[in-house]
Amino acid sequence: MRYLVGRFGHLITVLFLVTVLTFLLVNVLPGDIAYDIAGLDASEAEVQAIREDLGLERPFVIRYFDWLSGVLVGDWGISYRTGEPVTEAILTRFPVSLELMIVTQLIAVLLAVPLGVISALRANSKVDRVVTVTGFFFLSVPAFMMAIILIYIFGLWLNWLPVTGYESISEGLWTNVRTFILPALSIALAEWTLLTRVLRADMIGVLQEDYISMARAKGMPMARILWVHAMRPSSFSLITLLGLQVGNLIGGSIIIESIFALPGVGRLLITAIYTRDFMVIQGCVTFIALGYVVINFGVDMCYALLDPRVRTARAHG
Amino acid sequence: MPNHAKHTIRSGFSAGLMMAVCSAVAFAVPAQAEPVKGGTLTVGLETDVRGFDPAKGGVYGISGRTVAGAIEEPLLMVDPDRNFQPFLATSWQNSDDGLAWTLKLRKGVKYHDGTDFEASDVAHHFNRILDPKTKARARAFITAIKDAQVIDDHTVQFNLKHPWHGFLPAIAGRDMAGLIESPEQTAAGKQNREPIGTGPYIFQEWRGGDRIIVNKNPDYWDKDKINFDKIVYRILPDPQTRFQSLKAGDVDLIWTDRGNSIRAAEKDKSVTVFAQDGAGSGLFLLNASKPPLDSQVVRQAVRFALNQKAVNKILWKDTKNFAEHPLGIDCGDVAYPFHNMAKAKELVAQYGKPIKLEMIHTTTPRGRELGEIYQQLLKKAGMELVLAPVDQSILVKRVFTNKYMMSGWRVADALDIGPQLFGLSYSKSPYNITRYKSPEMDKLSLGMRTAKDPKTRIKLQCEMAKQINIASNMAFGGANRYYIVMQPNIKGMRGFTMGTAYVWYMWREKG
Repeated sequence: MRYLVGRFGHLITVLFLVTVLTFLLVNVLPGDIAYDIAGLDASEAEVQAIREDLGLERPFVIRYFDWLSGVLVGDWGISYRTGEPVTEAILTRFPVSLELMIVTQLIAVLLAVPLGVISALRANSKVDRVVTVTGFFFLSVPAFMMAIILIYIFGLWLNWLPVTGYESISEGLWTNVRTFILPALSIALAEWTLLTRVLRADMIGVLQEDYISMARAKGMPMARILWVHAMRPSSFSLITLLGLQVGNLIGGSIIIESIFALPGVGRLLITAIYTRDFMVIQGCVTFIALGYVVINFGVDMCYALLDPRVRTARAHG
Repeated sequence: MPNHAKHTIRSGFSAGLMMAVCSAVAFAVPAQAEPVKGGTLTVGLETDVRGFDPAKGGVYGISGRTVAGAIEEPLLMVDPDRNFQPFLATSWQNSDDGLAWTLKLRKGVKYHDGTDFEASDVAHHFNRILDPKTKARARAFITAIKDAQVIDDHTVQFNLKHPWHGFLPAIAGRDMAGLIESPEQTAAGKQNREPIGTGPYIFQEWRGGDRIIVNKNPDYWDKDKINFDKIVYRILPDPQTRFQSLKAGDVDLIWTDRGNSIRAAEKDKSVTVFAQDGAGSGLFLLNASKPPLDSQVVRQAVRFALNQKAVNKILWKDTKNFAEHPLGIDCGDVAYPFHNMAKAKELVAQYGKPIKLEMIHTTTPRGRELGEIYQQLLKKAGMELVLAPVDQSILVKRVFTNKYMMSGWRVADALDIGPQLFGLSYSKSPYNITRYKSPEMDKLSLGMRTAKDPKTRIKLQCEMAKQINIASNMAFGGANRYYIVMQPNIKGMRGFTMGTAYVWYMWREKG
């Protein structure tokens, strides 16, 4: 319990610092949303009226605490550009980013785990080298480039998958999933390499442990040794990295969301940055920070699940 | 002026309508087959709509007009022969003194919520925009209207501050000022995100940043002309993505201004390309209040050094027309200073002092490229140009707060360029962003604004363009030319204005 309270306090502190820093940085950025809203044909008087309307003339500190007091009661403000509530804007787009995140990590894990295990088992063999070289090839291709290649092959040439857009699950499961295959692959084809490498490294170490040697000596099948006895202790780095990658994807898949026209949080954020829509920027950054902290909290909990020694150590404070 | 059911304006508005006619006729599908009813049209848009309430939604761009035009309607429309045609208004009459326009409205038209369309709705729409407290951006384009008055349920009178032959173009535009929204939905505060109009399509859903869906209006007053059951507008900001989506068959129709995509589409037999000339043009501002640009000699030196033809070729891959002025019609000789490096050097020598200038430009690839081209051209002429890349919103701010020397800008396409020309040229206008003051230009501007007939208005607009070219406080470049690329089985394309294809009249050919 003490541990949980401590972690929660840590979460609040991080969030507070992130929101202050973001508010500060966004407000010192050059640019003025009033001009963007007013358009090229507006007069200076019209721009000034917009600034007053939006309360942009108020001191930074007052605006920050005004915003913060709203956040605490669930009111994250209104988009200056569209008038849409920020919470609504984020929550309608989050499922898209979430689904992209899940499909991407699923593909990455499905590739990384078996290949990582094989590489560890056959360390320094031809198989290991092929996996390594292939992995580094995909790692060296930027995600946007991979996206373009995949679009050309599967979207335009073979016409197997849609090039852009998002279809919700209400349109049908397959209709929904197929819109994520190319975007998820664009990211996952680089991510699996990192996951494979950390799993391989950890597993090589674990496979040299005495208890593994004992299990082998006792004639236990290799498959059982790998998946039951070696996998769990080899997973800590994998899970840590997975957590970081997932957190990164909450708002970090901006380029992929833009290329594939997925209406996710990343695209919302980049549009808000270009148009200096402060409330949306603030809301998105807070949301992303919250997601990051929660996910990493979840990763910590996973350690406890995977390793009983962690639970015991924590229980004894 | 006598009542005209069809009021032919040969020269009453400066849109690319003449050009639009020629292009539309040249490119329109001749002898259309019988329209096929049903199905869904998917349109790829460049930007999301900001909103549909004139008080909150700013001004429409092409994307906004393409969506709003399906849901709401204007009082008049402009046909390919440049005639104003009845639409929500069936007839119109100008008073003898030119200070009032009386319009009769179509009967039996209903909003999507079942309420009747009446004169009070029209009056409400325009008076609300005209009210300074509303802070509607569209107000700037119709300030010559004093108010709109209800005469009876289907008659509305517009009272003007002065005779204004920009009135009919202003109410015929499919933009924030022209399109009539539901007053009840507006009063409920919902019009911005859940628009209601009288149009052929009813708003269904708006998934922000993703798509807007509209369904056929079964009770539309002209329903025989409407074919698709549904239109899905997909937001595809990236031009490459938009084009790839069309090629992959994910969307049926897109607008694009990317030279590479246009050229590729023209060679691609699997798509159809429609080109439509419009009014408006690119604009390059030379701030006449900042030395050495306060010297006409220096400004003219810059103008002769610039090369619009080269810019059109390099930046736009020759997908834009050469613009001597932004009116989109034939004005005759407007004293356009064509590229002449020898003349530019001569003027630099005449000035006799080193010329160092600064140009602000956007940080986009196109903005940077334009800056570099101009830098090279001015260097050849013996002038130094310092480039200052800035964000779009900073650029706008610096222009309006007079913290710039030279900058890119634009003259937006419109059915009547007059208000923009006036704003840019009249010395007391808050939009006189080059700060050029000239009694002659003021006289021309005021004369144009209050011209007693459309012909005189257009003639004075041409003269204003000529004076701008001579004063060289602005350089016109790259006339608007719109490209719609679509699947070959989409039919019903007709001549359009301001880059906005009338997607609501289209259909999909069978087979």
